[in-house]
Amino acid sequence: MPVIEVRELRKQYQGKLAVADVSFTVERGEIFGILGPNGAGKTTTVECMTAMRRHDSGSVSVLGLDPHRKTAELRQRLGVQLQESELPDKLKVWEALDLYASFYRDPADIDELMDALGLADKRETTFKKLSGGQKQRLSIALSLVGNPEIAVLDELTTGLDPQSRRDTWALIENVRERGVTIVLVTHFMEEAERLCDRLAVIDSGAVVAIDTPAGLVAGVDDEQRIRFRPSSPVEDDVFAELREVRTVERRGPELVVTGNGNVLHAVTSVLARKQIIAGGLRVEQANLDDAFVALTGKNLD
Amino acid sequence: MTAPNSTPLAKLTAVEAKLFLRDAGAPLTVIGVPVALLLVFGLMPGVREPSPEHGGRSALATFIAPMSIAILLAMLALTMFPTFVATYREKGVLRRLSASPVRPSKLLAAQLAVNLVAAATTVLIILLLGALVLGMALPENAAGFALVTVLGTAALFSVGMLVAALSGSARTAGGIGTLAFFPMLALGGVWVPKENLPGFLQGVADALPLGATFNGLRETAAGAAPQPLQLIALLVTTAVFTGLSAKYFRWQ
Repeated sequence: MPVIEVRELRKQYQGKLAVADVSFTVERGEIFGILGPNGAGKTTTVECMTAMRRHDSGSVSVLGLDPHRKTAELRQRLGVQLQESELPDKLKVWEALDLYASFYRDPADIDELMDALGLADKRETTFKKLSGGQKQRLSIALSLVGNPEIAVLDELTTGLDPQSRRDTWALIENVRERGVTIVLVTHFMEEAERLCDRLAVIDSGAVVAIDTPAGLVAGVDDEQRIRFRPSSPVEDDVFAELREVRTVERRGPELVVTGNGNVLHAVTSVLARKQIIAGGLRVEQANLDDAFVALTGKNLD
Repeated sequence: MTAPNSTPLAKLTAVEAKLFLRDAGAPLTVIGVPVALLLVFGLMPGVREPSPEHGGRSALATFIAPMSIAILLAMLALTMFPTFVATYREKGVLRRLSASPVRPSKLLAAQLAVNLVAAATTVLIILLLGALVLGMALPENAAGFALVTVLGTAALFSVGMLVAALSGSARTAGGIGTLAFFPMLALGGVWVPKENLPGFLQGVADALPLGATFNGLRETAAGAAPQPLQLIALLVTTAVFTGLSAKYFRWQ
């Protein structure tokens, strides 16, 4: 039984089609990613899911509720972390959490939440004086203060430095372990690959693929490319005759072998048998970036 | 600290009040400017004595105190309140709230409540300070004075609400508010008393919200009833501008 079901969603504003055709389902307890370039319709999709916008056609069901009919009930059970929403400059961390906790019938303990999000020593700090990462953590805390069943996190790590970004990712994994279903909207490939159980790739307002990160990569290209400098001369044919190998090329002193699946194992076995050492060995694999380019014909950033 | 089971609106109001007091500029301007006006003009020679020019009453009670109150209300309603609201929209504070179980209109209500309490407090300070320090007579038609204060506050805040509705950013809100404030001062008979304005402008002075408030306060301070034109102007302004604000207000 999915907790979110979006079918053939369509939304147009001022003659511009923001979402043309988006369908997906999210299962309880998973981290579901919505990945796409800026302007692909990700935020609009999320806004229709959280009753912040009314869609033109299609259907949305969240926790079995129609967001526009049962908005109050939905908002009690769904936490949202939005892009571009700040807090008043002079509001302190604990005050923000205490205020938002008063909005929910079964709020989380704000002291525990501050501990979990590493904000305990910032409780008396005003919003203006927080760093980018701390603001983002407070924003996540606010989306969790109502003890939601689902948390929707939109462009969580945009604008964060690499360290804060990694810290935030660890945090999201902790949140999932509390049993919260997470919908993560992102245009960072690395983030999607690291965190998501499944991903919907959205481009120009439509879903182009839904799969696990590994499934998306495998579906696009199974090819591996191995580069190395053999420590002693070796014939190309030694590799070319292997079943797993597709091409063998020489680039200066380097050998470049491509193939599918177990090509690395096959090549290293041959090298070991011939007692050749592979200098500067590198294996290049298709990643989610390649998958995205293959699916949409464009780069993410 | 508020009780754990307090309603969201009570909690929002308490938080907004704290933020208002924490903003160094706001309380200082709200109390400081009108009180300074009262003291500076009130200490000038002759204004505390009864004068035939003011119907045998003092200029302090019938002109300077009403002026301090009208300027206080206009400043709060036309520039400070719209700037607060526009800042909340610009920074996405309203957007964040609109994704929570609480309607963002509650935040506007809380903000309005804080402004009204600040206004009421300052009006009392002006009257008490005038009476106790400067020996000013309290308004002779107290009920009329209170009525004009309430209607004037409603009218000026409804104009401020439309300023907030129409401005995209806090800077624009402050700008539009100030732009509305100064002509209203001039045309309301604050710089030049209504009696000294050319005939056709005297009606304008009683119809614009700042002027209607100011001149209504002058009438009632001197013991008369507020003029019908002043009361009607304030009621119509409130109705029209509240309607327009509701129509054009955007939460994000």
